Amino acid sequence: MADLLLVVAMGAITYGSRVVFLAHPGAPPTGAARRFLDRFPLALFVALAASILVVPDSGLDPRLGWAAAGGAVAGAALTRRSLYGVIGCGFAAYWVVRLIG
Amino acid sequence: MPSGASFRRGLRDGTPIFVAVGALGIAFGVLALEAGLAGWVALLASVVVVSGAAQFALVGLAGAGVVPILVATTGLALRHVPMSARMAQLVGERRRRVRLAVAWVLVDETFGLTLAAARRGEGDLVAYKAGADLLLYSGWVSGTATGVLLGDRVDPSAWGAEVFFALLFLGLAAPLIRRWWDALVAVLAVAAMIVAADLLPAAWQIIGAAAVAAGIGAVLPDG
Repeated sequence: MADLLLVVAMGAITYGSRVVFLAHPGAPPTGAARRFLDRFPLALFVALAASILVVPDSGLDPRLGWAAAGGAVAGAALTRRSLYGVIGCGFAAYWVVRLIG
Repeated sequence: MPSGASFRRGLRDGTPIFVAVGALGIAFGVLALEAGLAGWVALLASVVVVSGAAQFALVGLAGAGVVPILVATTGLALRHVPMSARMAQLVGERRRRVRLAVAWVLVDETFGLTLAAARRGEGDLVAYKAGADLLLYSGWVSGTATGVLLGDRVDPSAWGAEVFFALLFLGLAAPLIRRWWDALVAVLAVAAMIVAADLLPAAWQIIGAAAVAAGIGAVLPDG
């Protein structure tokens, strides 16, 4: 029941943010509020990744975490920040270090 | 230009999205089970929420409790607000129920396609977006169902699922780095996460780090 309510609440929040101007046209946020909204997803995604790859007590071998992070950064540079380029290069670097030991 | 033709062009342009989003949906289904979510919860999330970002955050924060998950969902959802404003301009004077339906799958991928279609003078943007959305939505939901079905047959640690999960977030972050200031926000998020891991309760570490980095980012310039 709690999971059902959580998913429904997530759906309501997400749909609410999508429908707000389609239901009630008006001016979008500006200034610092807009920049916060623009940059929050980036900050959240990086924090989520860092919590696994680079936080010392995450449980992952630090060499593997840094290898994956380095590979991902290289992948971003090589593939114009493509989602699949980042995942592919990061995962390749992780596996190279994992197999070498 | 007839709506049927616009709809078919939306289907055509949405085909690569079906494949890509379907693959991500499979990953979401597998990782949701690994995080301890029930299969029906993962599938319901894909049907109801239709947001990869929010749903992967749900997986990442599954052990943190309801409030951090809803805070993360809100923070991620707020990026739709400017998209909603732009889409309202593109849709123009349409019936209210049409505008409410357009909002259902207002996601980055088909929003981008619709913007491009508007620039090249597509006749019926609502029909075009409906075609692209149909493929995105079906790819996301069917991919999730496939991932949930595969979940029990996959040993996540054997193939490095935890690292894949982290890389997925970096992959989602990468296209958002458009300026040097964005790169600085990313570096700040890493530093804030390392500090938060020492200072904050586990449930609030990720949200706290993201809020600090984005808060500093809010006072940085655009260019």
